This record gives sequence, C-alpha cells and structure tokens, in this order.
Amino acid sequence: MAIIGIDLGTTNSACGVWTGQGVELISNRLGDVLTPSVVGVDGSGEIMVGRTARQRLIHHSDRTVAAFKRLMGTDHKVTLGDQRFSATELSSLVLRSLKEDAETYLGEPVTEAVISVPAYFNDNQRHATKQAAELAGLTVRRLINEPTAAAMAYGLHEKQEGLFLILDLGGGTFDVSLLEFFDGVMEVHASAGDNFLGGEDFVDAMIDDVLAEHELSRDALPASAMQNLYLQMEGAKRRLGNAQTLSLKLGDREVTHEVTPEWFARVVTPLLLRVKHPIERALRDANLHPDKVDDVVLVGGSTRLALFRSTVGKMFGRLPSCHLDPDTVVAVGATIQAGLLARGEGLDDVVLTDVCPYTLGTGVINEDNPRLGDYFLPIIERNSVVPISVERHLSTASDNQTKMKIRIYQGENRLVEKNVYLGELSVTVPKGPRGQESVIVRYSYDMNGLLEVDVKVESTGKTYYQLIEHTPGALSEDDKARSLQRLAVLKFHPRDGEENRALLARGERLYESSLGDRREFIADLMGRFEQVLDRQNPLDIARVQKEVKEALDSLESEDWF
Amino acid sequence: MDPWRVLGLEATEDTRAVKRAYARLLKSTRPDEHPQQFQALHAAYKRALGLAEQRARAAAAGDTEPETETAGKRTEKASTATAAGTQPIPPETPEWPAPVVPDDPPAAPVEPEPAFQDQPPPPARDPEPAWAAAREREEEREPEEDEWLAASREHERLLTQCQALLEREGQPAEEKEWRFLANSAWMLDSAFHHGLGDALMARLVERLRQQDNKPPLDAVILAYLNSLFDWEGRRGLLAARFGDTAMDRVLAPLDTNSSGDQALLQGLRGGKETVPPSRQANTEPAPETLYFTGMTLRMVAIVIDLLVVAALLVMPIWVVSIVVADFNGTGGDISLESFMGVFLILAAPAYLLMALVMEAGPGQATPGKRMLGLRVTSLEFERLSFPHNLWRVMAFVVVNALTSKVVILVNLFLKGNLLHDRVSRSYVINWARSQREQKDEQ
Ligand SMILES: Nc1ncnc2c1ncn2[C@@H]1O[C@H](COP(=O)(O)OP(=O)(O)OP(=O)(O)O)[C@@H](O)[C@H]1O
Ligand SMILES: [Mg+2]
Repeated sequence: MAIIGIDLGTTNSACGVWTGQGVELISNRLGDVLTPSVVGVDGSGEIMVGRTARQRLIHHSDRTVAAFKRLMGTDHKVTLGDQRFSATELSSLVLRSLKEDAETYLGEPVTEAVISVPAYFNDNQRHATKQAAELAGLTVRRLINEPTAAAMAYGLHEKQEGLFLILDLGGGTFDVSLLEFFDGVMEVHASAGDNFLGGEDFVDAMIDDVLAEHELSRDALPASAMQNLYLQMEGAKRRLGNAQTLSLKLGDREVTHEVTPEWFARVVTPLLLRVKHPIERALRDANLHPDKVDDVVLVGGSTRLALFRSTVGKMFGRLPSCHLDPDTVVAVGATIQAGLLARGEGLDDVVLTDVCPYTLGTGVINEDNPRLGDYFLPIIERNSVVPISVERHLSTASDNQTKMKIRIYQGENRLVEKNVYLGELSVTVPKGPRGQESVIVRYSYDMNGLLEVDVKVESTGKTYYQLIEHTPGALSEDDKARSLQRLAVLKFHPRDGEENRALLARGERLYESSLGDRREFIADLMGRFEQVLDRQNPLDIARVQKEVKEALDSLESEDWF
Repeated sequence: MDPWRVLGLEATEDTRAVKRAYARLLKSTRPDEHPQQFQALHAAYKRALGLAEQRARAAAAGDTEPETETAGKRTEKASTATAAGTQPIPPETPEWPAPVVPDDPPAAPVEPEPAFQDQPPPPARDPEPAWAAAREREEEREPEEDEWLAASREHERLLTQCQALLEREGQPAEEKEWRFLANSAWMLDSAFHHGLGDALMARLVERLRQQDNKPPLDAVILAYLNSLFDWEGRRGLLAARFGDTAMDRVLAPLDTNSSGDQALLQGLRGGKETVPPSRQANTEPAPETLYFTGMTLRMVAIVIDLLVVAALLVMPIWVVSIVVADFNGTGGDISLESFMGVFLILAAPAYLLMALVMEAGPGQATPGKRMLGLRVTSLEFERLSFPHNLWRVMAFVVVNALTSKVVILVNLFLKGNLLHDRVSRSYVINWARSQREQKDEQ
C-alpha cells in the first residue's frame, strides 16, 4: 500500500505519491494541486475544506477559519457556527480531505503518510500534528522538517553537492536549515526559525499601518470588512511591482490608499529584521561564515517577495536561487521521503540525518537567586544530531522529599519559565535527607522530532515511562476517542459537485463585494446557474459551469484567489 | 574510541575521503534503524573531520606534528582560536566540494573570516564603522564614500533621537514613539543594523549606570527593540562587551514580558471566536512545602461538618416524623426523644457518606474542611480515587469506633498525621496555610 507525502501548510496543503518514475502530485477534487488550508461549516452544518471554504472566508467569516496551523499545540479552540474545534481537529479535516483525494487517485485505501512540519515546530506542535493525522485515519510514518523536505526535492533534482541554506517563508512560519549534501547523505547541520512569522504577518502589518493612519482599531470594523481588507492587502502584496491605488472601505468611510514598494518596505522592515535573526543564528550555531554557503534555496510562497530576496541577497552577497516551484517543493520532498520509507523503486538511496532545533531540558532549583525562579538545565543541546538519547542525574532538593516532579521544557532561556512547557512527570522517591535520593532522567529525541522522557529512581530501580502530563494541546486517549466520535458524525460535502459549490461560493463572494449593475449581473448569472443545477442534466451543467466560470473570471480582479 | 578505526580509514588530511567513508558506512547504519550505532558513527565522523582539517592546516603551515590532543574539542577550540587571533591561521583546504554556482562568493580572504559571533562588531564610534567594510564589497552601489557618509549620518541621527527618548523627563516614551527606528531604510543593511543595535545598547548600559542600576526600558519597549535588534539572541556577544551583569540588568524586564497569545492569534483568519484554554489545575501550582493539619483544626472541621449534617437532616426528619405521626393517629405530636433517636441513628452514616463523596470529589474536602482550607490527598498529594476514599472512611470508622479514647490520646502526638490517615495511606493537608507561607516567603 502506498505511503503518501503531505505538506500541511498554514495557507495551502498538498500531497503526492512516489510512482517509480518520480513524484506524482495528486490533484484534489477541483483539479488543483494546492488545497487551501481553510475549513468552513455551512448553514446546514456540513463541513467543507479547501477553495470553496476559502471563498466563504469573507462573508461567512464566523463559520470559516484559515491559518489555524498557528494554534497547533495549544489549547485554544475556534468556534465555527455553533461548533467548537481545536486546531488539531481542524488540521485533521484538511488531512482527511487530502486522504480522500489520494484514495480516489490511487483507487485504494491510504492509511500511512509522511507529513512535513516546520523545522522549528516544538514538541507540542509535532504531537498535535501526529494526532491530527490519527484523527483523520492516517498513521504517521515520519514527520519530516519542511526545509529538509525541500532540500530533498532540491538535492535530488539538481544532483548538486555542497552546503545549502534553505529558507522557507510560508504563510505562517519561517524556517532556516543549513544542510550539506554529499555521496547520498543529506546532513542537516543546524536549524532555526520563527513559528510566528509568515506571509500573513506581512498582510497584518500592512493593515495595521493603514488602520493607524486613519486612527482606527481592528475591533472598530465588522468581521467581514476586516476579511475584505485582508483580501485586498493580500492582492496588493502579490502585485507590488506596480504602484496601485486601493479603495478601502473602513467602516462607514471610503478611503483610497497608495500601495508603493517604498511604503511596503517601511511597513514590513521589523518583519524582515525578524527574518534575519534566525539566519544569523543558524550560521552562528554552525560556526560558518555566509561565504561558505554554496547556494541559498528559497521555499514557500512568501519568498516571491522581491524585498525578501534582496534582503537575503545582501546578506550573502548574491541572489538566492529557486529552481523549483516554491509552493509544491515541500510536498515533493515529503513524497520522496515516503518513497524512501517504502523503499520505492527508482530512488537513489539517500540517508537523511537531522538535528533537534531546540535545547530540551528541565527546571532545577536556582539557589543563587531564588527570586528569579528556577533555572533551565539543558539535557539535549540544540542542533544535536538525532535520534539521540541523553541521561542526567538529578537529586532531591529538600529533606524528606517523597515526590519529584520533572518538568519538561524546550527553549534557550536560562530561566525555565521563559521556555516552552512541554509537560511533566512525577515520581515517588524514598524519604531521606536532601540530596540523598537521585533519579536518572533520560530524554530520547527520535527521527520525527518527538521527545520521550523516562525517569529511573536510582535507589529503588523503579522506572517511569511515558507519563508526560499536562501537555498543552495534546489529547489523552479519552479525548481522542471523544474527538473521533465527534468528527465521525460530522457531515461532509460530497466529493462530486464540489466544482459547482466552489463556483457558487465564488459567485456569492463577488456578489457581496460588488455594487449596482455588476451586482445584478452576477445575481442573474448565479440564478441561471442554480436553475441548471436543479435540473440535474450533466451535459447542461458542464456547459453552463464553463460559462459561469469564464464570466466570473472576467469580473475578478484577484486572479490568485 | 579511535575515530579512524570506526571509519575504517588511515589517519588522513583528506576531508573528502572522510566523508566518503562515512557515507558508505551510514548506508548500513541508518539513524532510524540503528540509533545507537549511528550516534557513535556520527561522533566518529565529526571527530575525524576535525582531525583531518587540523592536519591539513598543520601540513599547510609546514608543521609536521598535528595536535591530536585538542581535536576532540574542535568546535569550541576553533572559535576561541579565531576570536583570539593570536596566531595567523593558514588557509584551509576547501572543506566543502567546490560550488557549481556560477556567481561565486567574493574571493575568500586568506585568513579565515570568523563567523558572525566570533568578532564583536566594533564600537559605535569606531573611526571605521562596521558597515564601511560591508559597503566596500557591494559594487553595484554608488560611490563608497557617499554611502559611508550617508550611513554614518543616519546612524547618528537615529541615535540622537533614541537618546532624546531615553532622557526625556516626565512621561516615559511609549512603544510607538520608538517606531521611527524601523522606518529607516538603512535598517535592512546588516552591518548598519548591528552597529546601531550595539550602539543603542551602549547607551542603555550607560543609562543603567547613571540610574543606580534601574533598567532603562520597560518590558514592552524592550520587547519591541529586542524584536528589531535581537539583543537576546546576541546576548553572548553583548555580554562580552558590556559585561554579564549589565546585560542581565538591562534585559531583565524581558523576563516579565509575556505576549505569547497575541503572536498566536495574530494572523488567524475567520472563526466566530477563539476560546483560550481554560485555566486549569496547573495554573495554580501546589505550594512547595505542605503542612499537615493539627488536631484542633481537624476537630473543628468535624464539628462544622456535624452541624451541616444536622441542618440537612433536621428538616426531613421533622417532616417525615409529622407525616408518620399523623398516620399513626398521634395527632402530629412527636416527642423530642424519638426525634433525637432518629437523628443520632442517621447522623453518623450521613457524615460518612458526605465524607466519602466530597473528599474524593474535586474540592477534596468536606464542607468543614473546605471552610478551613484543608484538603484530603494521597501520599502523592493528589486527589483520592473513590475506592481509596472508601478505604479511608472505613479506616476512620474502624480505628475510631474500636478504641476511641486511646486513639484520641495517641492522635494528639502524631502532628496531624493521624492513625486513620496512616492506616488508609492518605494525608489531610492544610492547604491554606501552605499557600500562605509560600506567599510570605516570596
Ligand atoms: N507573489 C507573491 N508575493 C508575495 N507573497 C506571496 C506570493 N504568492 C504567495 N505569497 C504568500 O505566500 C504565503 C503562502 O505560502 P505557502 O503556500 O508556501 O505557505 P504554507 O506552506 O501554507 O505555510 P507554512 O509553510 O508557513 O505552513 C501566503 O502568505 C501568500 O501571501
Ligand atoms: Mg510551507
């Protein structure tokens, strides 16, 4: 049975399968390779995923959500209509849709996948991704880091050896990986990144500047006006090359706004500085001068920004390269990894070695200055090659202590509270004077970037495994069963007819955002379309579908939507 | 272990050969299949690579005896050696295969240039600022002289403005007043940006000294400036220049700043609302030191509980007895005696039932215990399960009913860890006191 490769992106997702000859990207029910990572619930409670849902983001924003990858690994929930979803559940709906598309394409059930995650994703976020897959009925064979996947695709494509810096700026995350390719070995030297930096933040920065200029706050505008602003700014961001004048509706005011490359550069400078920091950090960690890098490879839709390219170009004294489609290269890499795991034919043997991008450790009492809180004791240092397993001895901090709580953290700050909390486990130790009892804490970090911790009490020899509790965003077995039950009763839009629904949703969006004659024209067009759909004559439907699509295309200013 | 033996090589200076040997062995020692052997192989590879480089360097310098001894610590040594720069280091043999990219980087200088962290950028008022060097390398720019002047003028202008904000009396500056920094087109120039960040830090350190070590910026502004200059990421470099304590003090407010959720929710699109995680158990951590509950408080708790039980029981018994009396034709006249009889028969079981349910419930206490801030826990200081609490209640009955007078006497000397607690392996913790003492300590 095939293992599929999936890029589960903030903005877009895609999947593929290895076919002996090469990677085959799988088109979804609408014939697109990219499925927008947008989930919506319609009036009757049915779930939709992808382009149809994205069309509804503006006028049904209370029933539609996008960019929820940001919430992975947290306990935040999103309400759509009258249902409440966790980010894990929302991701599982996207995965489920991809899985169905793959099953239709392959003509057989699909149960295993390689899923890409940002290299800088923390342990909570990785666990959440794995659980999302499980909720969608997929077993994760491997979580692969997105830049590593991109490098795989790139390395195999270019057959070029050397030292590469992969920069992946997508919709919501930024990743930097420094890796070397030689003799069929792909070795990651260092990874760094920012989990909250991507194309959506650039749009947010633009909007914040406009709102500040007109002395408005985000809350002052109704949700649909905000969504419309996002859409307009997103379009403007993609067309930066030529100066544009946007007319924006801010509440009851209609204003015009000049979008120029200079304005954009000024507004996003803080974000570009945040792009530079992880790049510098990765080079510092690998103890390398930028000149040593043979090629800088750009991945992710936001690397299309000219300003991004020139900023990176200046750091390295040359223009970065991007020979592969930045939108799909991660999916291609994930698929190659899936092919390797299945020992697929026609694949040169490549062995991948990766690193753990964060320092992992635990809290220890800070005796010099208790006021500051506990110190962070690193156990696995960042950029250690994985899989790795490290042991540390810890002893009791007070007399007659009977219980030791091992709190697990990830991060770089020397104060434990400033790092990401991953969970904790408690062990019972025999009573004794302070420092007499000790435990061996072992951290094991696997190929998927998932952490396991076990603790052995030295005097009793008792070992505690897998007892990590209170992990943010994680589902216990009970939660998972409950979640599965809940998702099982959800109704989904049937696969066929999706094209028509996408068109209807698009027509509705255009209708809502148009005025006067144009509006009437659209109403008329869509009315006719609905009539034909009601008659259910496939030939007629196909003909009118094409007509409607063309008519809408001619009205649409946002060609990327 | 000898890295060369692991790799099956003779000691060599040929890094390429080391890589080839590693690659060959790696195919049969895959990280996912043989994690432990892989770690050993990888460590040997890294060591051998370091040794080979060192040999190559030594060979190039005409030194016949490579120092194998320090090789194991290659990474640390390498950086300190370059930073100290005591010895001119000869050019390395190319470490990576030659690039195929047409536009090669500018020719590498003879002396290996240190990576970013090895050399703290020169101080801000250095006669030859850092950007000058960077400028020289960029040919497509205008005449260097003008660029250099423009950069230093901009540097001074921004710094003066910063100084004014820092020294302003009265109302401290707000975050948005600092935004002018990001509006400068020069900020995207690495050398300029590092130079400015460091110069501003120098001002902050100066300010710290003037103000008796009071941090010069509050958490919000500091977080903003840190997002521009990555002071936290460059802390090591800055500490080398300004000293550890000064950096600690200037950056201390960052430790109190938590804007986590905001970053999270920025960028999310749509949705009717987002529901933050309910603040649960672990937001209120257990106090570090827990106290047992003394005899007096335990007695008080029982008295309160009995009053509660009585209040709950009196009404029903009264009503029932009236009905019963009516039925018997005694005309609603009940004797106090029979009333008390019924009450005493019912009170004890009612109390025990209440304890059974409530002590294993979320409050971990009967109403009396709760009022006094007590909690019943297991030896792990966690909530009891129902079977465990059943055991506890039975232990209470058996121990106290059998030998009540002796027990009370013994209990007086047990410092709150009473007989039935011990028998049932549970504790009654004075949670309120534990919390109070913890707070006082802080
Ligand atoms: N021409 C363009 N100019 C600027 N930005 C663009 C352009 N095309 C796409 N983008 C941006 O690229 C982003 C989407 O990129 P991509 O599909 O690579 O992200 P993703 O893989 O879904 O996200 P992530 O990798 O962060 O999870 C969007 O924010 C979009 O605005
Ligand atoms: Mg991506």
